[in-house]
Formats: sequence, structure tokens, C-alpha cells
Amino acid sequence: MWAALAYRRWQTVFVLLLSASVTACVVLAPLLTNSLGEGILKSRLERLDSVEALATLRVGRTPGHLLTGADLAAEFPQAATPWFGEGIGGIVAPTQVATRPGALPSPVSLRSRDRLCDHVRMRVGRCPHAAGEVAVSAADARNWGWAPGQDLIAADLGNQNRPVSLAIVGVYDEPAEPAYWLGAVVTGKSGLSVPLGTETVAGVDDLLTAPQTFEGAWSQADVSVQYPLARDRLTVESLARLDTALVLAPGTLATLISPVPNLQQAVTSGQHLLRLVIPLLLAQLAMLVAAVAFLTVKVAVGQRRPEVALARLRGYSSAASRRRIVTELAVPVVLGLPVGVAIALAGDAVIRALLLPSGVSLEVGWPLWAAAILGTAVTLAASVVASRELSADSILDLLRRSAPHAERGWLARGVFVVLAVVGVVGIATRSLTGPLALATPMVLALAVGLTAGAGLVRIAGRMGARTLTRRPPAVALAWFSVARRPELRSIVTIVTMASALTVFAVNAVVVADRNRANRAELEVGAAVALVTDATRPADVAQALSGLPAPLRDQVMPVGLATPRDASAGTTLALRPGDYRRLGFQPAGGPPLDLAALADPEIPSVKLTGQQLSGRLRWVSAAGSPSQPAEVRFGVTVRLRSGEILDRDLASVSEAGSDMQDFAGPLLCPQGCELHGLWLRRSRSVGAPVEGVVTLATLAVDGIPLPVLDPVLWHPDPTSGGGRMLSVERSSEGLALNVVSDGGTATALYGDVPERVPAILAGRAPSDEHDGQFSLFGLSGRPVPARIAQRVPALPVVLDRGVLVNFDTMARLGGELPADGTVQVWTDQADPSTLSAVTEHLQARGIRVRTVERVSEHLHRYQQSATGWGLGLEVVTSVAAVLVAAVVLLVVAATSWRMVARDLASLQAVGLSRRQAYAAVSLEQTGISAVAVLLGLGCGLVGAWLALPLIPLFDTPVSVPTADLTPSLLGMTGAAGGCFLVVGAMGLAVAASMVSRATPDRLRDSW
Amino acid sequence: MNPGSQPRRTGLPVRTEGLVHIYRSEGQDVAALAGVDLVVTAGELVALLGPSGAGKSTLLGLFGGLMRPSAGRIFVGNHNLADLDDGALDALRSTEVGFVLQGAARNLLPYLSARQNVEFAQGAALRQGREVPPADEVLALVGLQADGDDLVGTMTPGDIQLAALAVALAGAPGLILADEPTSQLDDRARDGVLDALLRLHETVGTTVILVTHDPHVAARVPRTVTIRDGRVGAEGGGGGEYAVVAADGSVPLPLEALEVFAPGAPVRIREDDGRWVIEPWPGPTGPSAPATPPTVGQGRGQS
Repeated sequence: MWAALAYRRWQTVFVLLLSASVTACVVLAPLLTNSLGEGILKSRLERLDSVEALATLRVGRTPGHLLTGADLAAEFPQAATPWFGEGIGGIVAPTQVATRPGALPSPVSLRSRDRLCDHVRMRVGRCPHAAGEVAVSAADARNWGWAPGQDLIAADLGNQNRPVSLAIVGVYDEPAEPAYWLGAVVTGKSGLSVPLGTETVAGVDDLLTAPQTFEGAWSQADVSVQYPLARDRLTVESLARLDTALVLAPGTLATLISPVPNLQQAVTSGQHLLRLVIPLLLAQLAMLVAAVAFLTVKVAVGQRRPEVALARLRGYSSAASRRRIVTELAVPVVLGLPVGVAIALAGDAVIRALLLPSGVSLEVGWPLWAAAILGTAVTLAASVVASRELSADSILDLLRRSAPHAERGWLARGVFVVLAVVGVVGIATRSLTGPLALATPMVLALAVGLTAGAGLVRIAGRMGARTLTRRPPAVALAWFSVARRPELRSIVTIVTMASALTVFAVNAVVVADRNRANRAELEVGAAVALVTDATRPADVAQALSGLPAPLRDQVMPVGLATPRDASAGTTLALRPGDYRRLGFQPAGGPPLDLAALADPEIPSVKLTGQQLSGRLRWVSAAGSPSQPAEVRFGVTVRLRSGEILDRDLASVSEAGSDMQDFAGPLLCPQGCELHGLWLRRSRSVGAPVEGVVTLATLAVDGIPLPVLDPVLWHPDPTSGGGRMLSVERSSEGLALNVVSDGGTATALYGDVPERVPAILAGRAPSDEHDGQFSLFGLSGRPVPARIAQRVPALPVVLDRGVLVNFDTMARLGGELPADGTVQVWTDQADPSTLSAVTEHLQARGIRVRTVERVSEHLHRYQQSATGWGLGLEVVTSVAAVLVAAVVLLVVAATSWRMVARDLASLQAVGLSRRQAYAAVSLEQTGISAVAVLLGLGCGLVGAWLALPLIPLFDTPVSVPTADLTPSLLGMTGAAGGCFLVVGAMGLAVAASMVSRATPDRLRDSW
Repeated sequence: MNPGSQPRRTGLPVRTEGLVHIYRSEGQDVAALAGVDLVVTAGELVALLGPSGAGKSTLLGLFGGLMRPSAGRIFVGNHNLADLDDGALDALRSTEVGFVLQGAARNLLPYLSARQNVEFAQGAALRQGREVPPADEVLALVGLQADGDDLVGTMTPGDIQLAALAVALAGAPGLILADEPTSQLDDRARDGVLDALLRLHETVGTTVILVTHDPHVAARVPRTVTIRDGRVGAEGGGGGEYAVVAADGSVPLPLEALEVFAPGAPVRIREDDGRWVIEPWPGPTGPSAPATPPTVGQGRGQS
């Protein structure tokens, strides 16, 4: 047996490698599931900041239970301690201290912390270590003149505000150890205004003291122990144990807050996805490799037919002969087990190094060995099945090199064709899901490959005969070679499968990446979004306008406001022109009708001055009312804060007509803008008012305002009660026709549209009627709006919000509501640009709080179960191409003697070496090309079938609509790459074959 | 088995009765053997002659149990091969029948030496608990004891054929079946192989049936059987050749006689002074001619 293995050493090596490959594929499943699960955990752990990565045990003191940190630490579940660092206990008591004699007391925290003196640097004095001693911050020492030696009188709020004397013994520097303070905010409060009831007082930094200060006092204090999570000790397996262990004993008053439950949930849901994605990838690769192993073993068995014939001729039984072959093949197959495990471990290591966060550990458990044994058993079973044909053949049949029953594979082909058809129909009719559906693309490729291989052999003979006299001899020889070498069918089958898998995998990666990018772009809106702390959108717009060119053209202001009602949509305000140039349009929907958001071309009227004045004429159209009242006339002005205020300017008698010059204070010391004109009865709302006010002039400090053109005005759409103030031209000026119930009728200046046009994403607002609704303005006020377009998604607000013109909203003015931000979007992600913009804003008092980048959002999606799973597609496709190339080698290694002998014979009768090379290379590249084309087709069908079944995100996203359009460029590129590798291997095989076709080969009988 | 030390072993007799073998090829039946009646006595050395496609190799394959006859019976020793199942045929080949395939190298595992090939061939017999001669003795019998450890790939064509013969002898069979054992050999190698066969036959008494086209080989074999059109066409021995009356009474005419007695021609067979004479039918004008020629069987050589 060993001599036989040595005689076919290359074949032995290939069988070993293929057995190892099958084993590796099977072993990789548990390994990758584990590693990717660990990756999810590490990724989540990396995202936790030092405060989020804490388990905090907390309890409030009561007069009867003056607990210390040590008391509390005893309640921490002991079983959970291996996964946490040393707990840091602390007591914080709220108290009040007067910063100066006679000043209102300021709220302040009296804080002790374990090993405090090891972590605080004293600028002056010493660290407090006795009861009643405190250290104050350097800022407090500077602001309030506090120094060591002074006493502070604090109030023990838990003990009827009993005054407690605290001796200052030191002044501490700004704490600089986040790992010790774990999110506790100790400083940064000194000197700030702090509300205290109805008053405002000066803020004070924490007073640091020794734990002894709290002994027997300060019953209102909070005691806590913080345990930093030992992230490097946490694994998926231990996380589950930790989650179970991290439970407080019943009856305790303490509360425990930790990130562990959220982590466990994230890992569990991630693993659920991995169980879907990994089998999809590895099952296809495993199917390919198993098919390769089976076909290779079949070729190897076929090559041993004469040996079996000899054994039978010498009296060995059929079973014994077959057993001898299976045993011989079992040696490399079994040796493939450790090699396969090693390959899988190496592959897992590569994936951990390239794809996953650092620190993901390798876990070798029993599933690995079970998978290894399963993988090897699969190849052994393939050997047993492949050797079955030996039992059926007679000795004379066995003496022929190839099986006489060329059509023996029809049953397997038929089975796979039926499976493929069932799968395709099942998926198309949505009646097939799960693993069977996911395996369908590969089954389809297998069926096509097997059928094409058989078909090719059938037609090759005829084509050879047809081309024999009409073409160069190489063409006919290539055809004949295909016809008489059944093992070439294996190449067709495997290359078809490999190229289908490669095409499918590359397309899946491209499509997934495209969808993740679409989502990331939708979430951020532009390449980079600088989130500022500005409270007024106009401030940011003004600041940006001061940027030098071309930087000014590379940025745009964006306003966002979210109402308190979470179900209501967020308002996104941006400049349509800038957005078209700098932002990302939402994918998967109709193009945004940004032109519909265009700002009115009427500039705002700035009102700066002291006095408003003018002349008006009133003509009543209602005759003489029974109880005539005064009709009041005024303007509304818009402050920079967005507040809209009335300025009451004139009063005329309702009855008859009246001409009047009017004047009144503007009361806009910071400047304001003209917003509207109004008219109302001074009393008795309900009695109709009807008439015409003709405004002859309107001026500020005597300077007329150019506002008497009726096109500049429009009625206020929000006026109710049948109130209408329409405008028209008059020879005397601007005629205001009023029809009202006596309430205020308003006409609005046209620098803001009557109804702000808005693009709506998602469901309609609850107050929407005939396309009109109120949107949540950037000032937090309702703004009349109309729906200009409905789209599935909008940037940042996704599927719940409206998009409006930034300048329109800025004209409305106002400060942002609590849930509002002003951002600066730019298409430039380079640090220098961002730094320049940030510094420019900062110089104008606007701080950039955070920076959102599309690349970071994309990275976050890539660092997920689905992201990694699809990243594995790349590994899978590379492996598939290499497997296909190996198949050419395997076939060459198992049949080179025969081919070389045939070529030697042909050369003996006149075939040139060049023609021989041309024939073999044409045969190798020709069948490879056919198979790659078939694989391309199968990959395309597979993309259509299976791509919708692959989760692209860990958590399904509703927008943008998944764009599963196949990437034809990617697919053809993948097919081309596959052909390049396989074709190059074919040419190398051809060269090797021809070089071995020496006259000595003519003596070979085997 | 050393001729000097081993007791002479009795060869196995071989007998066929109406042996027919039909191949099915591309949907058509082709009769390779059309009723062979042949008796080879124990220890006899017989060469099967005949043109290509006459059925010689088929007959050899049937003797070896490599295929089963379509009709008729084959007896090897006491075994009616038709009665043996596959296992019994395997057992027969392990100890009773040694087979030498055409193309010497096809009989040998190329990655083993001659000795290892012999040992491999003895494996089945040993598993059945049969006694087999030491490999060295087998090699010595064919004159290969000095080259027994050479790998097959390094041996000369003549030695490869001798090794193939040694492998066939590995189980000390009573019948050796050799298909073209001297083809593709030069004269010297051919004589060496033939010498080995004759030595084997003379010293051990093994029955040997070989197929050959080589007239030199035929000349040195005591008995030749010519297979023609699936039947025994003639036999010879000691330099002469004679026809053989088949079980159905037919006698194949020699080829040269067919020039006189064309297939389909009526003939008359009569006794003439103790001898049997075959002569053309004189026709209806003759003294005792029948009104119409008698119907004769179809096929060449029928009378």
C-alpha cells in the first residue's frame, strides 16, 4: 500500500489536501461562528467608554443604615468577580456651602473615594485623611479664595441641615485619571451659574474628603462601588456565565447596573445571524470542496481499475479488492484530518487578524474535533461511494482504463437537476426558505456543471471528427481529448461551481457594501457632519459665510429639530443647492424634488431703528354698526430669537372712513424683521369687521419701507374664524381688504412662504389635510407647511421627518429646541479641512461637539455579524478559485501518464511539440472558458435567487430600500479573474504534460 | 516447485461442450464463440491459434472464469464453471488457474518488485488457508531468482514477461492460461519465455493453454488448436494439422479446401475402399443425382 501511495505521490498529496480542505471547511464553521461571536463581543466592548463598561452597585444611605463602600462591596455577586477589576467604592453626599460669607449656599458634592490620595495630585496642602478634612479644587480656591487652614460650613441635608464644619487641608489639581474616576464629574462646575430653586447661585466643584468623614453621619449620601469590566477576560462563553452570575441576592436594597445584559443580547442576536450567514458561505464552499473531493477520489479510483483487475485475476474477491483501494485512499484522507484542522486554524487566524477586532481569542472545543471527524468522514464516505463502481465491473471491464458505462452518472445528474429545479421554483414562488434555499445556487451550479460535462463529452467526439480535416490538428486533437477523457468532465463541473460561487460571492459583497454605504450616507447626509453646540441656525450660517473660498463652497449649514413627541417626525433644514452639490441623495427612491424647496426670492426686511410710522385710510364696508368699536392696526415683527411680536400702531373708528398718520416704537434694540400686518377690532370678537385699510406709507425712523407692492404679501394661512386680510394694489398704496369676526386678520410678508414647502418621508403627520400640515420649526414653533413631495427616506431623519429649506427656516428665526442641533455638512473628509472649519466656528463661539463621518458609520456596519459574514465571501471566493485551479492539477496528476503517452505516440508519427502544446492548452483553457461562462450564468441566477435571503444588516433597516441589483461589472470581473487563474493553471498543466511526452512513455502500460 | 526438489504436480484437464459466447456491442449481438468442443488433458501444453477476432482470447477468458459463457459448458478440473459463483471463481483463480494477460506489464503492479508481485498474487490463496510455494521458488522456476528484487519499471521486456509468468504461477495453479505471452519480445526473450513455459510443463506438469500468433511458438508446442469463426477449425501436433469433427458432426474444411468447395456448394461424401472421400456433387446429370441439389448448411467449412 505504501509503495502504491509513493508511486502516485502527487495524487496522494492532492487527495490529502482535498480531504484536508473538506475537513477545514467543516471545521471552519464552528471556529468562525465562535470567532465572529467573539468579534461581536469585542466590537461591542470597544464601543463602550470607561463609564459604560462599569458594573455599578449603588445604595442610598438611610439614618438607620449608614453603609460604607466595604459593606456594599460584600453584596456584589462573588461569582462575577473574575470578570471585573478591583471595585472602587465611594460615597457622595449632596450638601450646600456658601462661597462667600453672606452668599446664598451653593449645591456641592462631598465626595470620598477609595485610595483617593493615590489618585489626586495636591497643588497646595495635603490630601485629606481624617474625618472632617476636605480638599477643594484649584478653580474653587481661585474663584472663592479658599485655602488650607480655612473651614467651610456645610449642611448635612440628611440631618435637618445640621451645619458641619469641614477643614480645608489641601487644594487639588484637575483629576487626570479617567480609569480611576470612572465618569465621576468632580470639577468644571466652579463659577458656573447653577439654578437653586428660584434663584441662581455659583457652582462649586466637589469637595474631596476621607471616608471617615461619613462615619456616623451624612445619611443622605449615596454609596456606590464601581467595578470596571475586565474586557480582555470576557469571552462569548464566559459572558453567558457572567450574565447568569451577575444577580444580587434577594432582599438587598442595592441596585446593580451593568452593560452585561445588553452585551449578552447583542451577542445572542449576532450569533443568530452568524448561524444563518456562515452556513450559507461555508456550506457552498464545503459543497464545492466535497464535490471536488468526490470527483478526485473517483478519478483516483478509476486510475486503480487495473490494480483491482489484477487483484481479482489473482483470486481476491470483489469486496477485498475494493477494500484494498478504499484502504489505500483512506490513508491520505485520514492524514488530511490534522492538516485540515491546521488549515482551518490558520484560516481562522487570518480572518481574526484581517477582519475582526484585536483580542479575539481562539477557542478549541469539542465542536472543532467533532467537525474535523465529520469532515474526514465525508471524504471517506466519498471514497467508499466512488469505489462502488469497482464492484459492479467484471475483470475484463476493469482492465479497461475507464469505466465502460459512460452514462453511469446519469442518476446523480438527474438528482441534482431535479433538486436545482425544485430549489429555483421554490425560491421563485417563495415556498422554499432556510438552508435548502440558501444551498440552491450551488446545487444549480452542480447540476449545470454535471450536465454540461456530460454533454461536452458527447459533442466533443463529433466536433473532433468535423474539425479533423478543416482546422489545425490542435483543434481536432483538443476535441478528441475531451471526448475520450472522462476526467475532464470533473473540470467542467468544478470550474462551473467555483466560478458560480466566486461570481455569487463577489456580487454579494458588492451589493452588501453598496447597501451599507447607502445606509451610512443616509444616516449622515454628507461625507462628514460637524455637530455644533450652536443654538441659532442663523449664527452657523453667518459663520460659514465668512469662510474663505473655496472652503466656503465646501460646507453647508443644516438644522435639525425633533419634537418631544417621538412619534412625530424630525425636521431637517438644508440649502437645496448646497445639498445637491455636497450631500448624498437617498438611494432606492425617487430623486428629491429639491427645486420645490426653493426659497422665495423676496428678501427679508430688516427693521433697525426706533420708530415705526406711516399713513393709512380706513373705509368700512359694513355700514354703521350698532355698537361701533375701534379697529386696531399694527405690524408683527420677528425677533432674532424667532419670537413674533405685535406692534400696535394705529386705531381708527370702525364706522365710516378715516385717514390717519400713525407712529409707534419699534422696540427692536437688537434689530428685527418685518413679519406681517394685522387688523382687529378692539373688543367684541364675534361681531364682523369688513372694510379696507389703505396703507399709504410705512417707515422706520422716517425712512419708507419698500413693502407696498401687493406681490410681497399673502394672507396668513393659520388665521381662523373666517378672518381674511387680502392685499391688492391701490392708487394710494397697499389696500388691505379685511373680512373677519373681529379677531386678528393677518397678512404675512412674503420673505417666508405662505406655507413652507416640505419633502415628507414616512407617514403623514397627524394634522395633515390636503397636503397641508404644521411642521416642527427649528425654533420649536409650528410652521405652516405643505407637502411638496413624498419620498421613502430622507437624510438623517430616515423614514420619519420632513426636509425644508434652511434659509426659509432661518428667516423664521428662533433658538433651537432641546432636541435640536445645527450641523455643518461637508464633502471634504480630510482632517485639514475639518480642522479649518472647526477653528473658524470656534473663533465665532461655536464649538464642534462631535464629528459624524460616513466612513465611521460604514465601519460600524462592517464590524458586525453580517458585515463580517459577508466579508467572508471574499475569502470564500478566493478559496473557490484556488480549489478550481487545484482540480486542474489533480486531474493532470491522475492522468498525465496516459496523456503523455498519447502525445508521445502522436509526436512519433509527426505531431510537432508546438502542436501538441497547442492541443493540450486548447483543451484545458477551452473547457475552463466554457465552465466559467456557465458559472457566470449560475452566479447571476444565484444572485437573483439567494441574495434577498441574505441579511445585509444585523438589525433590519427599513430605509433605504435594499438595492439588490446585481453588479454586472463585479460579476464579470469575478468570472474574468476566475478564468485567469484557472486558465493560467491550464496552460501550466499543458506545458507540463507536453514536457513529459518523451519516447520513454511509449513503454508505459499503466 | 523447484524441478529438482518438488514433486511433479498434476495439471488440470479442461473440457468444453458446445461453448457459445455472445458479445453485445452497440445493440448488436456478435457471436465470438459459436459452439466450441475442446478437450485438453491434464498436463497438456496447447497453443490456440487463429486469426484476430477468431475467439481465442475469449476462449481463454472463459477458461479463466473472467466471463461467463452464453451457452455450453466448461469444465476445469472437476469444476463446471457455469456452476460456480463469483466467490468460487475467485477461489479458482487464486490457486487453480493462473492467468497471463496480453501485454506483460499489465500483469504486474508497477511499483512493486517481481518478488513483491508474486507475494501479492499469493495473498488471496493465503487468506483462504491454502499453501503456496515461496516466492523465490516461483521466481526460480521462470529463471528470475537473481532479478527478483528489481522494480518492474527497471526490468527488460523479457524479464517483465517472465515476471508476469511467475505471478501467474504464484498460487501453484494446475492450469496456466497465457494470452500472447511472447508478443512484443525479441527472439531471444521470446525463446526464454517459451523455454520457461516448456520447462514448467515438463517439470511441474501444469496444464498450459496459450494463445499465440507466432509460428515459432506454435512449432514448439506439442498440440495446437486453431480457432476459426468461433469454432475449433483444426488441430495439429508434431508438424501436422488435422480437422476435428465437432459434436454436431460438422468438420471444418482447411482454407485451401474451401477454394474447391466453395461455401454453399453441394458435395458428396462416400466411402471408398475403407477411406472416406469428399468430392463435388456431380450435378443432376450424374448417375444417381437427385432432382435438385440438397440443401446444405450455411457458413464456411460446413459439410
